[in-house]
Amino acid sequence: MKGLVLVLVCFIGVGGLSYAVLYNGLRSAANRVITAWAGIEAELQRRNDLIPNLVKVVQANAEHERSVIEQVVRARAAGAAVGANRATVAAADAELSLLLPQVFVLAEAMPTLRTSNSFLALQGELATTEDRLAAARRYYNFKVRDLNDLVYSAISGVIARKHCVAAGEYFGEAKV
Amino acid sequence: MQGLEVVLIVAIAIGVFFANKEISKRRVARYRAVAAANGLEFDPGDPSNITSLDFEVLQRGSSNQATFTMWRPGSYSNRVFQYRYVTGSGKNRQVYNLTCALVALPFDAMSTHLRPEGFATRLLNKVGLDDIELESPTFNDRYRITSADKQFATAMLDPSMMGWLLEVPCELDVYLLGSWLLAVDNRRSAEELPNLLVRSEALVTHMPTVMQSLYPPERRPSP
Repeated sequence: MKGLVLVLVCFIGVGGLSYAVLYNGLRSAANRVITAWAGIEAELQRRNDLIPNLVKVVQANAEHERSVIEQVVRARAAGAAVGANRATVAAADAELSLLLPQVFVLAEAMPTLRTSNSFLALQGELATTEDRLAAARRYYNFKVRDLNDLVYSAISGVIARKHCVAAGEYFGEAKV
Repeated sequence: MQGLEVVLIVAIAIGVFFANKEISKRRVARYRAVAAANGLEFDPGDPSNITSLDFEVLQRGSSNQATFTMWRPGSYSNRVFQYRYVTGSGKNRQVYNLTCALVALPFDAMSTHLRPEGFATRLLNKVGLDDIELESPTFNDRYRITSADKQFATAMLDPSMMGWLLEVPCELDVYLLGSWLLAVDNRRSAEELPNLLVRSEALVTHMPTVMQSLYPPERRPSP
């Protein structure tokens, strides 16, 4: 009888410890997704801060090319709107990533812009920010993959459902 | 008769001493010629005290010694050298001879290790000691990456860098730390040293330029 109690206590102990380890792993993975998202937001903010200057410089030199500029302004506003969800932010980000190169193509046709130091500096800054953003998106998607691996696995999945830890949502089209 | 034996032993010892000196002289001359033919500077020792760097491989064992250093003229920044260290003692004494290249990085690197996957590392993966997994299964099968900062490693190994590493397979053990990249290979002959330096420099030039913005260089004094 004493042996049976001992086995039972050991079983409960090991079970409890395993549960705690799996739960902690799950929570850490979820927190890492949040941190990685914050990384994306920081880079988006950096880009959003640069866009008004770009718009100002280009508009001053290209009154007749309003449509691309207006689209850029709209996409920026959509992504930066208070309460915008991740899907909206991702859609606005994808749109801006397509529109910004168009602005630079437009500028190529304008000699005043092509030789303007402030425009060239802005162009360089935006290119670096795009690269930083790409790195942040990729890292975020890796973290989502790690979390989803846990959420969709047998035992961790049960714990995730019990504690309402949801699977992460990939940023944009990229899946890893 | 005993006197003759002593004279013979002394003569042999002197002969061995001079033969060694001659071999060493010829070896130095050979390295010097290779360096000159490739436009590199040369020193038979370790003029920049490479072994003082914090790389784990440079701190391993005892009697660590860097020799036959070749470097680009003008600075000690990028250099290639023979490296030797000893582990154990007595019957367990083992001497390791390696060839290394040290290349300056344009960013501040977190401690990272990239090496080709081998039998032992695959075994580690099986027992759950996984490395950093990227989006390319082929790349994951071919390389093992460990880093103190996963974000750093994923930023450095962007799709273009991964593609290049798959195209031009890297058989080296590559360590990154601070301002340096250390590429380690098995002992190579003098003639192969310049090529190792070129291969290691190519690794750095293929790294994404965004690394300089994400991890700005912290200027440290050259060793």
